Amino acid sequence: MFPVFLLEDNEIQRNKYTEYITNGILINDASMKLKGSFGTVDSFLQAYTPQEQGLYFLDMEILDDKLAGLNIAEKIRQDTPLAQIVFITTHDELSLTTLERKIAPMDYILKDKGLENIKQRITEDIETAQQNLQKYSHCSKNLLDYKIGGRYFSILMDDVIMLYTQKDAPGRIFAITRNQLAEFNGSLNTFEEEYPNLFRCNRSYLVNLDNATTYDSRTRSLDFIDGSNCEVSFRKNKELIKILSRKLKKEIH
Amino acid sequence: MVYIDWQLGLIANFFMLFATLQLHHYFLKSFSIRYLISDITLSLIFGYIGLFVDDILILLFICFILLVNWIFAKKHQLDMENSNSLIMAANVEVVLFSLGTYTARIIFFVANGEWKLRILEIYQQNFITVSILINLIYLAIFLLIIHKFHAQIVKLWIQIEQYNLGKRVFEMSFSVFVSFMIILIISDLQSVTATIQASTILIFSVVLIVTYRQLIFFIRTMAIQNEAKEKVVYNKQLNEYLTSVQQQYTELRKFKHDFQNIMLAMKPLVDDSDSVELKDYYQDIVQERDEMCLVSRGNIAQIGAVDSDPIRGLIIQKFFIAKSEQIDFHLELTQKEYHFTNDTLVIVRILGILLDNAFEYVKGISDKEVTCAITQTDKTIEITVDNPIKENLNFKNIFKSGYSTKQSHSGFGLANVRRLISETDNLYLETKVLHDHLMMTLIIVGGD
Repeated sequence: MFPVFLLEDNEIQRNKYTEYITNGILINDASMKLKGSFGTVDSFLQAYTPQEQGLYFLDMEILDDKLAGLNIAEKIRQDTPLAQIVFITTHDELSLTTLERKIAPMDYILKDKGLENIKQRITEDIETAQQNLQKYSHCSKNLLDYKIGGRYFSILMDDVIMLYTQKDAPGRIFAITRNQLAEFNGSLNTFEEEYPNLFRCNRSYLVNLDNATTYDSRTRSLDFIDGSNCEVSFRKNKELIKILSRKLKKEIH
Repeated sequence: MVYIDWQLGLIANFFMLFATLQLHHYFLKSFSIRYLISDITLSLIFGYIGLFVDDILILLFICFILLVNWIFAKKHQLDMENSNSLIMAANVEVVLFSLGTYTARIIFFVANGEWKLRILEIYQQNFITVSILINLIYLAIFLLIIHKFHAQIVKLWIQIEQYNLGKRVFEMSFSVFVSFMIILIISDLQSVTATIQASTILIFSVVLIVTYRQLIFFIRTMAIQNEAKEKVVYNKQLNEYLTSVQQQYTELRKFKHDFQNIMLAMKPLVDDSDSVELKDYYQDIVQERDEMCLVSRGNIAQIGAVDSDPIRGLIIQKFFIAKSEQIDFHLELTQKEYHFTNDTLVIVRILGILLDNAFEYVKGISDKEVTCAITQTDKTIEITVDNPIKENLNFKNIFKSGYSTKQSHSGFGLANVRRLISETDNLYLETKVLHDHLMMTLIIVGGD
């Protein structure tokens, strides 16, 4: 069973949300269970044990602590990189950009928009969480991890398009994904070993063939879903054709 | 000694005093007929006195003018600008006059092929004319040089006045002047030969130039020191202001939060009630609440949490630029303190470019909203600049020199960011597009 948690300091609201969440689970026929509704940070932390997975509905401001929700979310994110976090909050408590950087929550529900809206959003979020759960379990190595300074970052493998290096930035790896460009220190050889699903198409490119669109074996040019492309070295040409035709067969079957 | 007719002596003295006064007026840029008449009278009187007192004349002359100024000044306070300019003029003119006389001597000796003072006595009429002419030429050269540095000199005057350095400058130049006079008087009394006197004057001129140079340097140093002091005071005031704004903001926000929760909690009660009046009243309050939402977001007062002056300065500056361009610029600083250690100048340059780019971009769209968020965990700081974005980006191209989403824009900014980051080894840039927002994050990894 996939656990769901709620943290909200206002009792009337808490009771309402509890009702919406239980209803939402029933409507979506989700394999989830509301494990607890808490009114204070202390009671939440007492009941909290790091989970492998979880869906968390958090109010940002608890009693007078403006950042209570954020702090708890940070802790959850640290323990469970794939946790689904939803903030239920008033408009002005949000620092959207900071939240996005620190927590990358699944959703923000605004209290200002009224109870009907909150009810609808909670139901939708339960549905999305259910879908994400299935998505994460399909691939064994589903996250690409890297480290900058003391902080760990993860990118969903499905989103990764390519890793490459540049001559003017030795020791740096650049990663292009569906929606971002990141850079970090490292060597492509290490990543090639660690993530065998990625293909080394020349000395400075390591690509995710799942996100490749077309390959022209005469010009040895490989195109990707975001419009970028890279050249495949002469040595790797045959190997790539083999992998691609195998993939094609798999998809036809 | 050379014996010269008293008429010629009077002309020479008159010229020297008159030139001093004109130079003085030139420094202050104050010429008028009244001054001219009084200058001529004064110069004539002292020129005549000078026939009996020789070189001590200039010292008497200057002291007399200073004394008169002092007596007629309000509260017997010397006008420092006036006195400084007078002493400077006297210093310059005495040196130029002496140099002029010696140059004339050399010319006469060379022309006659004899190094004898007697020659000067024979040709005294021509000698005086020539030396005054040479003095005039020197004066012209001096004025030309001064004119070239006019702007700097004006700035220097302003600085002297601004930082009340007038008295120090006066003491310095007056003592230089007096010591020069003493040299002249003693060499007269001791009947020192012309050669020795000439070399003394040359050395003195060098000392004079060095002294004034030193003076300029001293004033500049004082100016910088004072500016730094003023900046500290200014920063302190700004910080105090920011703190008080922050307090008001916190109180307001607290009230708003309570208010919103109360309203939300009341909703079911109002819904259950039969009173139409109550429902209408509730609706009215809800509508007013929307206006309250505008009150608080992205308060510049939070910037006090950033401990680096250059970074804080940049953000404040950009905040006002955004305001003047009707851009909604939010700051998200959720921590109480942000500590920047090194590379602040590189960070300022990069952040400046990122903010400029964001401003530039939102100017072309309807949603004019830019957010700057800073987060710090341990030694890692992340600065994110966030703006709405309408089109798809090609991540691989945006850092190429000349890339821009706008055709009119030169787009060298991001290529520069890339270059700046390559030069250091603890900066990282992350570019992300999420919910139609472009987020560019500069990650700064702190030292050990």
